[in-house]
Amino acid sequence: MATLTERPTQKAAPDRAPGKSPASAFELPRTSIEIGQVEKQSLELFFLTLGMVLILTLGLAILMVPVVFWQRPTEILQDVWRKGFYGFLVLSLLFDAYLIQRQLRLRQLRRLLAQQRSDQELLLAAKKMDEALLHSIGEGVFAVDSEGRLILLNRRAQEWTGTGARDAISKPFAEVLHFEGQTPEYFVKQVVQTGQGLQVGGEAMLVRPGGSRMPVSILAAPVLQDDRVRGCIIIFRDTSEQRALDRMKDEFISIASHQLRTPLAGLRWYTSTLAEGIAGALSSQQSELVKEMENCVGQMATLVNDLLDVARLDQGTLTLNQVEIQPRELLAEVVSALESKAKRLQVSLLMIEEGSLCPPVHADKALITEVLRNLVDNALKYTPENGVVKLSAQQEGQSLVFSVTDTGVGIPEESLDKLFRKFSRVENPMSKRERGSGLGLYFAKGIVEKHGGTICVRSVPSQGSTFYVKLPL
Amino acid sequence: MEDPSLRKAGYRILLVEDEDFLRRIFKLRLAAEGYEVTDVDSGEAAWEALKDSVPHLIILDLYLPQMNGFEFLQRLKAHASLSQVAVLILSGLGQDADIRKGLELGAKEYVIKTKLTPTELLEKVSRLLKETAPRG
Repeated sequence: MATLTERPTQKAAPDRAPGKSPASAFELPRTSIEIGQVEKQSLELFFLTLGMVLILTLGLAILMVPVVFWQRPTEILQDVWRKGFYGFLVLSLLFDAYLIQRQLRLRQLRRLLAQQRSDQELLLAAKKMDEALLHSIGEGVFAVDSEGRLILLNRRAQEWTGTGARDAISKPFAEVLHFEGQTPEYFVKQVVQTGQGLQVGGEAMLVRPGGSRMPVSILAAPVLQDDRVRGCIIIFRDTSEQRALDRMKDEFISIASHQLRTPLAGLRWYTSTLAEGIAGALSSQQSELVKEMENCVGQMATLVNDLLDVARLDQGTLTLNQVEIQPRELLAEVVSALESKAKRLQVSLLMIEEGSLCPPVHADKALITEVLRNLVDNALKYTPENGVVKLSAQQEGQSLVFSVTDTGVGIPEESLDKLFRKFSRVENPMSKRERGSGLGLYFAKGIVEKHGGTICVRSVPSQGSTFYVKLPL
Repeated sequence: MEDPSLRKAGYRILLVEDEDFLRRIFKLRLAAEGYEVTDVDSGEAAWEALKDSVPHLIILDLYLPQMNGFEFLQRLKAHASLSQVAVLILSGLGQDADIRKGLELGAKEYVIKTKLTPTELLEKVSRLLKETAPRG
């Protein structure tokens, strides 16, 4: 007789044997009591009842023989018959009890079966809904097992790869997806090995069935089941539109900055030429007015430059053009660019020769020069007449430290932590001399950090400040 | 005391800039420094000017009609006898890609027009000439 055992409805799928399709590892659990099993139970019970009724009828008939044929049964026979009759009664009662118990059990199973049918329908409905949701996602979704074989791909993924789910399932991921450059196995392997998610930026190019290329961003995450990494789920996003928008934005900034800079450069050069007296001597009043103009143009130029620089930095498109640079060369260039200004402001600008002993640093020359120029320019701005601004470089372990020290007004302690934020400006009597954009130090910090370095400041109000730029060697 | 312009005399600069108002003022300031300046407004005109005289420095705008600054630079660097001429790009274009391309094509310096004051730029020109075409 078949034994009825209730299996739990939610049970973790066992590990698959190698080489076997792993798709079922992610299937819904099956209902434990099959319909046929209960039907079989009912049929067995029917035949059992019938058999027992026949046996008992036959037994009763045998017991009735002496009564029917011998009319006067002996005492022994009477005793046998009586015992047989009682036995029959006991057996009948036992059998009835057994039948009732089986009936109750069967009714219970039927109820359970009805419940399981309903659960199964719910599970199927939920599965269909999950599938509908998965296929409705506008991005390509793939899942692979720990060996890189496809176990799932949604409709968008099928469309992009030109492969139906039936053909693709169980195939190695790389056979279905073709990339330019980086191979998909790389990040699948990494995710499966580390159990950590991974994001591949907008550099990846998916090769579509017709040979056309589609830029995609990729997000891969481990599939965890019972705390074990069973595979990897990968989401591809088509970034064509994003790239086109970025290109348009870049072109706009490029053209707008060019169009802005051209007349601004003209203004700057013409006012400077007037101010220097190259086009003829000016009266003192004219000279004063032109100097003011020159100052305004300078501020506008700084603002335009800083805004465009910060846009480059914030866009994340700024790339470093790193070369070997002699620190002393950098210092000389910055000092040479600003010594006229220092002279005009009557501030001594000194270059400390420690730079001669420093090893070359691997950095973007134009950007680091810009950072140092910015720091020295600020120092000059906030240092009163007869003050000193020193620019130096020295090696500190595996780093090269540039420092810009001034004998200026210093920075109040409460302003130090917001100094490197956007549009941060420290107000003091000296800041009226030449108004900055509030973006220079933010840009400087961004550039230094892009080099893997740090920037910081020490300041004593009324005594001066020192800015340190530390770059790895 | 020696006039600084005398030290600069004899240095020839080819100025390539299509904006008239900028070309005029750049030439005025460079000439005031004592340089011998030839100014042209396009890449083609610059190429023609090179046939007459090879300068010590070319100050090159990028946004030029027909042959742009990059194309001119590429042609210059591919030329056997002109490839050593120092080039300073002076442009309003300031995107990383432009800067990288300019330097990769062989420009000595890339200066964004509004980044430096006239004095700072003239200092840079003087330093560049001393480095690339030192005179005894």
